[in-house]
Amino acid sequence: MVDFRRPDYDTPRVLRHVDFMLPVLALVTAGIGVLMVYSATRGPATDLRPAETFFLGRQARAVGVGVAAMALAAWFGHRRLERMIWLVHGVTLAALGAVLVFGNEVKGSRSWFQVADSQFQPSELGKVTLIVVLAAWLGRTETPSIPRVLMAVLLAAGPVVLIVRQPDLGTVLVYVAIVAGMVFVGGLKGRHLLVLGLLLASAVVVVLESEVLKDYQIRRLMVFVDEETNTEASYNLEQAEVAIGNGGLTGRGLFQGTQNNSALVPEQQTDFIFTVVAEETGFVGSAVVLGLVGLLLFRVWRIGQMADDRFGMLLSAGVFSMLSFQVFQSVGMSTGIMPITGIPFPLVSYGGSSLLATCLALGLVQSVHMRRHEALGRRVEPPRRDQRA
Amino acid sequence: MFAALTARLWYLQVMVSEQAVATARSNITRVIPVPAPRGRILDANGRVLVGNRTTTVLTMNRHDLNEAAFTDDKVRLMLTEIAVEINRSGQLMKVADVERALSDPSYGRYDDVPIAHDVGGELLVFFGERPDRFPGVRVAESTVRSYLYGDLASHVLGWVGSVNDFELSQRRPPAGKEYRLRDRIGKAGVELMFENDLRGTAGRKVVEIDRLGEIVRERGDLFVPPVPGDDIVLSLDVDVQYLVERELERSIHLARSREPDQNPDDPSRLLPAYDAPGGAVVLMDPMVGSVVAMASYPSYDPNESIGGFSVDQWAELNDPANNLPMFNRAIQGEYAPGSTFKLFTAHAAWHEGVFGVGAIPAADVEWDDPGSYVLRACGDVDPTDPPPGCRYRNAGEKKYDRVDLIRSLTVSSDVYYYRIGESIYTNPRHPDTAIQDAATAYGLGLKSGVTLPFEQDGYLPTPANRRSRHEENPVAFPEWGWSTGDNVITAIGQGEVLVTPLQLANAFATFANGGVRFAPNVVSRVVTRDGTTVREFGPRALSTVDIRPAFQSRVLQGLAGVTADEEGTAYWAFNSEATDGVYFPLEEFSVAGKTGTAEVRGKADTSIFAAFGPVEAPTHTFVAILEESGFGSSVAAPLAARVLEKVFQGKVPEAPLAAERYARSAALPLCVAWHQWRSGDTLDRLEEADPSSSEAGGPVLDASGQVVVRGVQVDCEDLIEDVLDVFEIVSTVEETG
Repeated sequence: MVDFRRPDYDTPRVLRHVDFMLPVLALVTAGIGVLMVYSATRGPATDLRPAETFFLGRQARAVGVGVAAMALAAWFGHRRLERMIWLVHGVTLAALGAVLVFGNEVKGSRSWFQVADSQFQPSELGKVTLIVVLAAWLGRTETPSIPRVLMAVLLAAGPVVLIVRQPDLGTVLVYVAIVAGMVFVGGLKGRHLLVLGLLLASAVVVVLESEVLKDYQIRRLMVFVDEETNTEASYNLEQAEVAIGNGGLTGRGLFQGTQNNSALVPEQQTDFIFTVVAEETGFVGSAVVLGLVGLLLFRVWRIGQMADDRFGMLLSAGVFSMLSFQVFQSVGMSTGIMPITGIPFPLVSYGGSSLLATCLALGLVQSVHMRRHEALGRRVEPPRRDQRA
Repeated sequence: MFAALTARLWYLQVMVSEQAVATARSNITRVIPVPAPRGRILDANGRVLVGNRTTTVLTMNRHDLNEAAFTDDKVRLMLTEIAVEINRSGQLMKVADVERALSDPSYGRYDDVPIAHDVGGELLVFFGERPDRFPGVRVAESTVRSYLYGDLASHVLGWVGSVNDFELSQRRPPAGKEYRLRDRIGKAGVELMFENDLRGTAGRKVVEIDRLGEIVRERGDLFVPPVPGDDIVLSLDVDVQYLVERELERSIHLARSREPDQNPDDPSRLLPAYDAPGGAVVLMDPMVGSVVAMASYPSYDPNESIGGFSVDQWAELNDPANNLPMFNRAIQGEYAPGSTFKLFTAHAAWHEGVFGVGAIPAADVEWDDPGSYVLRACGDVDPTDPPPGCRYRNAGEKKYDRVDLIRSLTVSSDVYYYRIGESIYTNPRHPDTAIQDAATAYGLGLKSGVTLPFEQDGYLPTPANRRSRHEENPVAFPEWGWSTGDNVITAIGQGEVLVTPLQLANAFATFANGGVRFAPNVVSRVVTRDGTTVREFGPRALSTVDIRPAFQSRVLQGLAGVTADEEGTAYWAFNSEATDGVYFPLEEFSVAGKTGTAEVRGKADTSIFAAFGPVEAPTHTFVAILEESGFGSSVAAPLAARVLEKVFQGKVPEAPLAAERYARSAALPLCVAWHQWRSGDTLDRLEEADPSSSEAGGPVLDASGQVVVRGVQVDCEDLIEDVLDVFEIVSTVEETG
């Protein structure tokens, strides 16, 4: 009998610790995403016109690229990245800076490059690099000092400022969530929390008072506070809620969502993709999708707990913060419990950059899982977790 | 976090889902009404008089035109080009017409405004290919009303037009037939009276649309098919109607062709000219009160209403200078009945016991009519130079020997009725208004109750209503007293007595059928498209008139004498062709008739003839009234003879469709050329009118005399024969006149 817990010295050590839950959950979720993107963009097939498959093809290709990226990241390993965080951070800042100059402007935002037939959005990949950089920076010491935490905030401020300039409020919020989550997990004391809270509050005031936010962004936020404020902006929310409600308990059936087919919800293949899920699969389907994502998040959380060093742990915490915030915000705005800001639903929303970033992040988390025993040989001090145990 | 999201989802998707489902449904579906075809109008024999057809309409969109931001010059050029193309496709249209149609205020900014109907299908391609040069110009098919016999019976049928604000707010159409802006509804005649039956129930089509309003797909499961309107079956016979209209028109032209007569009192002056501006004929079945034919001249073609009457057309149709073509003289025209009224005076005299009382001899006593009558009330005055208002004359002061009741009708002695008129008013044993009461019993002065709109009620003057009319409006009616003279002229249907042709026909029908006064019917049935009868209009008896048999037989004898006795006023109309009349088979079909010649101040006389026959068992009652046309015996009576001859003998020719009539008129020049070529009498003219030449697409003539116009074949031989018929009549009139 083979004892699976016994190290198998015939295979490389890292491969023995591959976590299968992570890629399987990611792939299933992404698969549902492809289907939903197709449903949202196919348009009703008529005698004259077959269903639109352009978005379906591209999203499927993006999933393929994403899976490869996940494998690549897992193989490359998070530790190799740890040694080159300044390079990574530099490249990120350079890319974000470049997009402000050379990027394509769409609807008043300058957030992506045209690369061949694809669009590349540096701010999406910037989330992952920020997680790596912050994990490495905060993981260097057991308990980060206040200067170290402030330095971490400063590190994050670079890309955030550049993204605010695009402007892309939604993505900025994700960055803020990542920083908050990682600083919190990375060993924050009560007084630190107070300082950070004050910083955040003053930042919000500065952002709202300055001319950084576009009018429409403020309007959207106002709508969240008071639905009567602006009919044009509340239209989005209204249509989204109608679509979700129209799904009922069991949904209208795949491709049968009337709100969806009539393209009444704006941005329904990207930011509002959850309305399609909710309308066509109902409460049951929505719960299943949320459950899948929840399981995935749990897995990421668990891997963070199992990590053999602070870097891996913080890395997982960052990815967890990123994904959970995106899910909460994306579903929350569709259901009207969060203000409307354009944030993609991880793995499900249409968009190659977002999918790639999520896959890379999950690949790095996988790497944390695969290499969780390496530290034993590399570092003298045992992980904190083991001390506790 | 997940709990919050799940709870929110549960709330939205399960707890308040119903609301959202309803919103979602209305969000994406639009209901498009599907117009229902209007019911048809059929004649008594089931021939379709009014149907529906598809037409090609050219529309323009003002919004699209504005969007194109053309300069004024460019717009003008474009409108000119559109007018040119419309003309080229066969519809006459001026640029001003296009502009006027385009500025119709009843259309909204984004509406497609119809510019021209019945344009050629090739325009669809022409404008479809040039959207940049002609922004907003579209050519599309639409369903419109089709009056298959053209102007035939147009006053009975009526016409359709866009619903106006007043109708939209005031009418209460039945459920499912609600009016929407610019719906076309009946405006006159049967189209108006039976609007609720003719109007179909619109169906609806449900389509799903996207955010831009583009139709995504149709919901076949929610489609409600339109229900066509019910068909109306008239009591009219289209062939008889055509015969009546043709003969009426011919009589009008004959009347106009006559020179005015000399004034007998002043030979240096002429009497007023025979302008003959219009006339009406009513032909009824007296036994059930249904209208077989109802004609009013001049008439109009309701097909012109299809695109909506243009301002010019409308003004033209309602211009008194054009004799008001839209005016239905048969029910709206009010005329003095003249001598035809004597029937009712006689009725009053007989039934009130006037004969043999006082100054009036018994009905069968013969006495000599000296040609004029001096009122007894004037006392013993010089009969050759009485005071004004005392002496009343026969027409032409003609003397009649040995006149009794029968002969008074046959020869139309006025003096006979002057005496009765005076006696009834002056003799205290008779009610003052006995004549008017008798006329009222026959329905004169009352609306007949025909199912047609805008009927007039005529007027029967009495001492009481003259006074009340004066009190209401002293300026318009300065007369308020009533004198013996008024009663005397009322007795012969002059003075203020006014009747409509239909009233007079119905009154004679009442006498003909023995005393039952019906409300005339023009519609006999309402049937669904598949032929099931929805409603039937049987005879509607309103009241009865007590007609004593002794009186009836005398009157029948007297009226039959009008056509059969050599002294009868309509004898020549029924026994000669030289007088526009016919040799009528009176032995087989005896006709009781009465001529009427009503004087109208400053104008030529109104020519009237009322008749029914056959005397033994009447099947038809006929009334013709022609304005400013002369004696009843010279115009209206021959018209009656020509019509009744064919009707009684069952020789009514088939009425041609409007398309055939058009073909005949278009073929006429070619046929004349062919006729001349064949008869060979005018070889020189032949060269001018070469029968072989014809413009592209125009009428084509072949050597056997067949002309084809727009697919309708015309035989030149028949056509020429018909035309020569008319010429012969006109030339005989000129010779005899």
